[in-house]
Amino acid sequence: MIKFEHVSKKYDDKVVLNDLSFTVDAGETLAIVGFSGTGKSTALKIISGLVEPDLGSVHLDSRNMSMVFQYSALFDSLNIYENVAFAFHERDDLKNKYTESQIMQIVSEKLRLVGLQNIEDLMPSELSGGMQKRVSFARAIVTNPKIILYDEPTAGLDPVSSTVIEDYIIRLKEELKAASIVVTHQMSTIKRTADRVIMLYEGKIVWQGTPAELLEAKDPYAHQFVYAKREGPMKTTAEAR
Amino acid sequence: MDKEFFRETLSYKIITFLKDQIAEKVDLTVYIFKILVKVIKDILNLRVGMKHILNQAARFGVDSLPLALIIVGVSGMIIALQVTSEMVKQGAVDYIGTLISLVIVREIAPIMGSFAIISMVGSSMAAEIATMKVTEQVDAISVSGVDPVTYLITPRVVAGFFIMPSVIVVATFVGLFGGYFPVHNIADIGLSSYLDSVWLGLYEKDIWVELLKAAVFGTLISLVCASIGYKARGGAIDVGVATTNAVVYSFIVIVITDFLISYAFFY
Ligand SMILES: Nc1ncnc2c1ncn2[C@@H]1O[C@H](COP(=O)(O)OP(=O)(O)OP(=O)(O)O)[C@@H](O)[C@H]1O
Ligand SMILES: [Mg+2]
Repeated sequence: MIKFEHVSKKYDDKVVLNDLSFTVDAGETLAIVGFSGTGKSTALKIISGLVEPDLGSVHLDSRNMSMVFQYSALFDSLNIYENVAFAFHERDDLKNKYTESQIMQIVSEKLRLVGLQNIEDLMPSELSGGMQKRVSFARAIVTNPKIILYDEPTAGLDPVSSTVIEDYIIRLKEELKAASIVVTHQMSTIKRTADRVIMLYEGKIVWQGTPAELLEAKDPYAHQFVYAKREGPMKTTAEAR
Repeated sequence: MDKEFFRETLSYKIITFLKDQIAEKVDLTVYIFKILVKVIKDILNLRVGMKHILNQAARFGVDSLPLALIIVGVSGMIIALQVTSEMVKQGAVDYIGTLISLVIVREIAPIMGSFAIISMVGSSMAAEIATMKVTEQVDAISVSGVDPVTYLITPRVVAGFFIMPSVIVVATFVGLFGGYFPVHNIADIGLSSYLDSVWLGLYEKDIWVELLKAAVFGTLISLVCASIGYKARGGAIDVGVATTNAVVYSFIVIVITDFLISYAFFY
C-alpha cells in the first residue's frame, strides 16, 4: 500500500507538487497522467525516498520496493547480467540468499519474460533504447517487489514489447498483490493496466476516475488530454512560462 | 565613470568573489567530511565487499603506475642534474646520492606520484561517479536497497589506502634509478658508490613517513575525488565541472597535508 499524504514540493520558486494526496492499495494499479513537467516523476521519486518532500508524508507498508526509471538508468559499467542481478549481489538481506547459479536462472527467466535472450554478457551501451528499457524493467521486478513504480515503462517500445510489459505489470499486481503506480502517456497502457487514473496539472489532481471513464469523460481536463487538444484548461509548461 | 566608484565596485567584487570561494570550499569540506564519517562507519561495520576493494585496487594500481613512474623517474633525473654539478663544485661528491635520495623519498615520490595519480585515477573516478549521479544510476542503486556511498565510495577509499604505498615505493626506486644517469655522466660515479651514498641518506624513519604519506594521500585522493563526483547534479557540463574541481581540490588538499606531515615528522 502506498499512502501519499498532503505532499508539497518546490524547486527554487517553482511549485511542482501542491498538497497532493492519493492512496494505492495492495493489488491495485494507479495510472498518473498529465502533461510533461507536471511533477509525475517527482512524485515517484518522493515515494521511493530519492527526493524529500517539503511538506506532507509518504507511508509504505513494505520496504521491498522498486522503480523503473524514465531513462532506464542502467549501470553502464556493469554488463546486463550484473545489472539485473544487482540487488542479489549487493543488497544486504539478499546477498547470501541464493547461489550464483540460482541467480543466473532467475535473471535469465526475467530477461526471457521481457523478450530478451542471451544478452547477459553485453554492456548497456550495446543495446537499443527499447532493449535498455526492457532490461531496466527486468532489473526492477527481479526481487518480486510489493511496491513498484513505473516511470513510462512502455515509452519508446514497439507495440508488441509494450504488450509484453503491460502483461507483466498486470501479472505482478495479480500474483504478488503489488501496489503499483504507472506514469504513462500511452492510452493503451492506461486502458490495460490501470484500475484508476489521476490526472495532474500544476501539482494538483484535476481529474480522477477509471480508464473507461477517462475515454468517455466530458470533463474539460480529461477531454483535452485524451483528444490531445491544444486549446483547453491546461497549458503546456512551455506556454505557462 | 567615477574612479573611486570603480575602485569600490572592483574591491567589492573581489571581496564577494573570495567570500563565495571560501564559503564554497568550506561547504565542500564539510560535505567530504560527512562522507568520510560514513566511510569509517562502513569500515568499522565491515560493510565493504572484499571483491569491490580488490577491483578498485587493481584499477587504481594499473591506471596510475605508468604515469607515476614516468613523472617520478624524470623528476629524479632533473633533481640529480641540478644537484650533481653543484655538489661537484662544492667537493661533496660522496653526498650526491644522499641528497638525491633524501629529496626523492621524503618529498618528490609522494608528491609527484600523487599528482600523477590525481590526474590518472582521481579525475576518472570523479567523472565516473558524477556521470552515474546525473544519469540517475546512483538513484537506481538507492532504490535497489543498496547504500550508494557503501557501494561506490568506501571501496575506492580503502583501495587508495592500501595500493598507493606500493605505487609510491615502486616510483621511488624508479626515481632513484633515474637520478643515477645524470650522476654517472656528470660526476663519473659508479652504480655501487651511488647506491652506497643513497643508503647513507636514508633512515628507517624516512621510509615509514613516506609510506604513511602515500597511504594518507591515497585515501584523500579517493575520498575527495569520489565525493566531489558524488556531489554532482545536472548534466554533462556539471560532470566536467566536478572533474575539474576534484583535480584542483585534491592538489590543494595533498599539498597542505604534505606540509603538515613533513612539519610533524621532520622539524
Ligand atoms: N532536480 C531538480 N531541480 C530543479 N527542478 C526540477 C528538478 N527535478 C524536476 N524539476 C522540475 O520539476 C518539474 C516536474 O518535473 P518532473 O520530472 O516531475 O515532470 P514529469 O511530470 O515527470 O514530466 P515528463 O512527463 O516530461 O517526464 C519540472 O518543471 C522540472 O523542471
Ligand atoms: Mg517524468
